[in-house]
Amino acid sequence: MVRSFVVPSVLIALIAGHLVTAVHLQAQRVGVAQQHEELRLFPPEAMRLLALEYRDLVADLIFSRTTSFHGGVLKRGEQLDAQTWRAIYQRLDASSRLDPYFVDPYYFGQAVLTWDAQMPREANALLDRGRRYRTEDWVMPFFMGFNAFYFLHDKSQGAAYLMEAARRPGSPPLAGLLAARLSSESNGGETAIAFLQELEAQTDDQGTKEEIRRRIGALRGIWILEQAVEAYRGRFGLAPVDLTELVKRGVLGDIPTDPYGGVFYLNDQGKVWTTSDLRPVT
Amino acid sequence: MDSIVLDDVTKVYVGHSMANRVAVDHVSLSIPEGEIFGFLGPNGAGKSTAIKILLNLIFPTTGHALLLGKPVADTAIRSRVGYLPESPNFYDHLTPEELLWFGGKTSGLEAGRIKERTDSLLSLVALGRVRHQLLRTFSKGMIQRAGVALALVNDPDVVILDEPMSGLDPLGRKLMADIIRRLKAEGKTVFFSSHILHDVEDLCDRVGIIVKGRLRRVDGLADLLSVPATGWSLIVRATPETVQSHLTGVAASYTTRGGLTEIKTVEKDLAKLLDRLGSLKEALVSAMPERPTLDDIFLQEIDRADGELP
Amino acid sequence: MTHLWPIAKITFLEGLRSRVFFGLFIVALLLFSSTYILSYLFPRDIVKVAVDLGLGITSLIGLILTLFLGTQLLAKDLERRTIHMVLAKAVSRSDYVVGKFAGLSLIIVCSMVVLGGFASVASWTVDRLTADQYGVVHWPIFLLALLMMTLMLMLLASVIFFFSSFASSTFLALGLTLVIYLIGQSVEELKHFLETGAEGVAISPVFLKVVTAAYYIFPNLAVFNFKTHAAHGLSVPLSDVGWSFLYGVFYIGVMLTSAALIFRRREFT
Repeated sequence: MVRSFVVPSVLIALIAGHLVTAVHLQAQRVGVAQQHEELRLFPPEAMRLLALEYRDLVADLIFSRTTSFHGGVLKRGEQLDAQTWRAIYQRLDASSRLDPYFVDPYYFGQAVLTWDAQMPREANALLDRGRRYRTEDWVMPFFMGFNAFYFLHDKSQGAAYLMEAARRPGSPPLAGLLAARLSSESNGGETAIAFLQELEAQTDDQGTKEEIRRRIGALRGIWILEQAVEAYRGRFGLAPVDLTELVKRGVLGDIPTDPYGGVFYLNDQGKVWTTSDLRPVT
Repeated sequence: MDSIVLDDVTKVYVGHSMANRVAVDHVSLSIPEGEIFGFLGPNGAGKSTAIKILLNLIFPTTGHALLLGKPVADTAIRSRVGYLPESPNFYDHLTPEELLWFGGKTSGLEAGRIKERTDSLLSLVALGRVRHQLLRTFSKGMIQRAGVALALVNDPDVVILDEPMSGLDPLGRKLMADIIRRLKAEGKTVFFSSHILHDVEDLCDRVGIIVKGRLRRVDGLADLLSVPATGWSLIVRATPETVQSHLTGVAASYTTRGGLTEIKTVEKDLAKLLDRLGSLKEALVSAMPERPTLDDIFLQEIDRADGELP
Repeated sequence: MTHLWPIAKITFLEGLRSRVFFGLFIVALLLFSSTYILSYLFPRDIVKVAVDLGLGITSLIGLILTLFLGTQLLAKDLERRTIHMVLAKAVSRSDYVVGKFAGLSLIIVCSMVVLGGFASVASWTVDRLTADQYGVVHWPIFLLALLMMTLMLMLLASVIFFFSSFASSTFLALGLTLVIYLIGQSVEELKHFLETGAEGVAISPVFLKVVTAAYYIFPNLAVFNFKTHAAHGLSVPLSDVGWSFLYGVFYIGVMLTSAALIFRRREFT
């Protein structure tokens, strides 16, 4: 009678012991999990080897997880530090290395690495792969041209990329025009506005689209004011003291508003700028 | 031309540590057409090995073997041979019909003939009802019977059976024995191995005894068993005391079985014994000459082989 | 020669009716139905992902099928001694090897037709339900990818046969073939990587020689992989296809002939 209880009791005791040790270990190894997190991205070449014949799927997977991660961070209202942005860039790069024809990493990279992460060089490094492989795609060199011009202030490089975009099938006539005018334009002006408009059309992400529209709004404001200053000079022979004069003297209907919440003014060099400095005024 | 020839065939398995195993040791055998030959031997004697050499599944180390006059390596000759392996295994997911189709096709039979043979063989081995069932649902006995059908599908001239009775129930054994007799009636050569002596006694024309790879004796069954009687056995319905009292001075041994007494004596004392029994003659149940049975001969050969140097 | 058909046919039936076959198709069906859902997780390259999934699942299931059925149909034949019944009939060792391979190839082709069919339906559905800017399926290359995938699986089957001709157990034959698959899928990548030089990594010339030797000895399976081309509609020069095809045929030939030669001298106790 006693014997029939022994074995089941021992079993229950062992299971209990297992659960206790498992729970303890789980808590103890959280630190290890963080290590795994960091290590999880292998060197790209190793990943290509490990992915065997499933590279395309692995590329898809990495991209999907990267965007989920990014989306998760945004939803929680957290900020992304430079290290995290770097990690995101590396993942996008890894995905595109596994499948360089895959278009999503390039679009996503263009959307976040430029405006948010402020890593335009990395963005172009990523896009360059897209440019080399997606030979029929004008958008890749177009993005690169924009980044070179707008973020990296390298007009000649921007012009070169735009020329390449213009040569690719399906490119808008604008690309060629922009390329031609880039060398003579300064930062801002019609070129930038036209460029930004095209960029907005190519962007999917709503948030980025709004940001670009806001920028367009601000630049248009500046452009209108600069045109008005030129007209004033032409009419009255000298530059206005400040922008309100334009309205007073009837050159302009009213001063455009700065979508960033600042105020347009005329600086010492006689150029139109805004107190917001093209950054949201809080 | 002999149906089966083994000419000084030896098979040596090279062992790991010096020890080589001689499975078949200089075996020579010729089996003429139409004979039923029983290949007798204890487990591990080399029966299966010799048979597999005949079927080119194993290659002899020295010597050669012939089937219907052709070397056993000749693939085509096997279209006239039927083989049933020991404890056969077949593809689980085939039906008997498909199995026989395969056997027929590879033996060069055409579709109509295959159908004919399939129908008749499946009914012969009583598998007609399950002809469309998968072999994995079959019992051991049914598989054995399917194996027989496969062996015979190409109407072979030579039929080689390795332990055909193993795993069969008495009904199955009878069926197998009937088939073998039928084959003989059709003039086929049948070569089968066994360690069940009764079956061999019943069916064979000739018997070969193989122990430890060597062929010890090959004799016609009749010859093997019809040697002069070594003695007599008389059974009397009487108690041993009663018998003994009658037979003083006669060399004999007594054993009791139930209410009967068995008296054993040598040939030359038979007349004297019968005379002495006198009045007990009415109580005589049987009188039989004692001859060595196949059992005895078999065990004798095994003993002799054991006594030899390896 | 005429003996090949009976062997091929019973091999085919045996494989088709085995439970491995059935189970894998259920799994495949479930996986393919996920294609529709998963593709939509992506912003732009939706159809590419559908094609990736379709071809990837086909390839994976095909691989598992080939490995398991391949070993079951040959190595198990030897283990369970079912081969005795075949060889006892007037069938030569070479007939056996080639006939069995034909049977297995037939199963592989049929499987790929079914799996490829599922993959096609899944991809076609996603294609039809999305605007063209999200990609289209390029059917000729899609079919090419399926074709070459099939050839690759047949090559692996021939490797299984080669190993089964002398390996002592099913498990060993399976394991060795799996290793060959892994090597075959990575050897080209590794060789290119070593040849073009890695940033900041010292490469020993001996290692490079070893990898180059491996490249020629082991089957380079990457030449049969056109999944990326199918996903993006990249054009494939006909000569590339031709050479890959020939490579496959020759390698299969070497494997089968070697297996037949080894088999000729093999005994079945």
